[in-house]
Amino acid sequence: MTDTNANERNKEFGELTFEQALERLDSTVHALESGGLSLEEATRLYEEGINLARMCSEALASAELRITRIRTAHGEQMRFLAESASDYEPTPC
Amino acid sequence: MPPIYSVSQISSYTRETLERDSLLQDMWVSGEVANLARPGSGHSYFSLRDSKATLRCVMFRNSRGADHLDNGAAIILHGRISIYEQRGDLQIIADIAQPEGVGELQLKLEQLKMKLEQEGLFEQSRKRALPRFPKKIAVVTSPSGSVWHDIQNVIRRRYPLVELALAPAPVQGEDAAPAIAEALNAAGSEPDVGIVIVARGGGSLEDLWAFNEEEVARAIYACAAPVVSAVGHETDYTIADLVADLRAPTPSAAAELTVPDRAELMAFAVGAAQSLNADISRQLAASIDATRQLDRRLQGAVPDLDRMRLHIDDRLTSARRLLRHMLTLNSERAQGLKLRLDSLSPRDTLRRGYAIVQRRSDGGVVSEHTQVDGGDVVDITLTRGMIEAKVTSTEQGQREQR
Repeated sequence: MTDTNANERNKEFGELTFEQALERLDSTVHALESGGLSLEEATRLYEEGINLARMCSEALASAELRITRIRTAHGEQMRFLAESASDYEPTPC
Repeated sequence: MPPIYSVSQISSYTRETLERDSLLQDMWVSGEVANLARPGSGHSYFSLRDSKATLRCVMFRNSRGADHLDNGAAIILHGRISIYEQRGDLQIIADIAQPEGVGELQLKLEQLKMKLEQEGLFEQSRKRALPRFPKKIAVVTSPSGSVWHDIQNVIRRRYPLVELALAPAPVQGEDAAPAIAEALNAAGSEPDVGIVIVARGGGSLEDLWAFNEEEVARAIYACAAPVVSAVGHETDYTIADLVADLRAPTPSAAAELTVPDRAELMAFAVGAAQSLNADISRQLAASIDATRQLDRRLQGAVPDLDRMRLHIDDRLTSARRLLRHMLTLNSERAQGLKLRLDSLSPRDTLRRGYAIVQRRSDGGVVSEHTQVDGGDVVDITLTRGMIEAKVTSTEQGQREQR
């Protein structure tokens, strides 16, 4: 995300988690649907909603699963075994 | 003169003596059922006998395995000896009945189940709900098995926004139970973890035994995050499954149950953008209309307010410009969202020759052989058209053998 639009969006929504962005998108749609807003307010909500929709879809399209490991006794043992196995590899002399 | 006792005194004394004997208070007895009676109370009264002796038995309602009782049935009972003082009957108060011939493991299992059930570990009321959008999911399983691989695949396809953390533990063998308990504890206390999955592929009762150990049951119960269990095949029910907040039929199903579906969320975002477009167009059109009417009234009523008219003209023009601008801008945006939605749909995959198999009964997508039985009707969706098919047999394919 290098264009200024994206940077502005990040400034505005960067604090939100995906879940919060989705919830806010939902409430924005409801607010605009129920009407009774001034034109300025409606336009502002509209802009916000479209940005949220874009942010959510970008997050969904670009997300890459992050995989980590939690330290457990078994995990440490496996690592130790793997390391000592490589220690015993014959070294040329 | 020796002391003289009343009948009740001797009867109570005998009962107390029997009840102090540790063997008689926790025993397994095998024999044949006779004279079975089940009055309205729901308790079962019967005799247990072998070729030489008979004992009266009572089994209260809600005891485990009362349905195995039948006149002539060979069974194994767990219970304690007592005396029914009103009648002077010696009797077994049984709490578990099992058909004769079941193994020792099965008996141990039933006993532990009863104990944990009484302590409330299986209570429905303490099952915790899963967060809809977990930030991080921890998986307690063997790092080398296909289970970990399958879970990663499902989560990557459905909801890659989550972080998946492996808490490695051996899932069979003597060290498995304490290691699983430790991994559950570590997984639950890891920051941000919203759900813990504890999983293992199919196997015999002995293979799955670690998941029937008290240690594992207590670790699941104590885990700081809600636990989803997926142990063995759909038909295997371990104690871990009974304690878990949610039980999934297979490890892949567990992964599906813990995260929302990316394509559905994308469809929601696209739908929201379209509905926003429709609403703002409607409001802009309405406000142009209102301004126009105001202008007409002004022209008719006050001919000399030229400057105000100019101002209104101005507003009308800028509202129109805004409308045009928004409509072009945002039909482009909606178009972009739709393209992304298409990229997540399975259509392109189908074109390459893959097919989607769904159960006719409930529309569930079939990804494993255990999800259908012989005789089930399935619908097969191809890139063009559909096939209705009947399952003749199922078999564990290569995928499971990895």
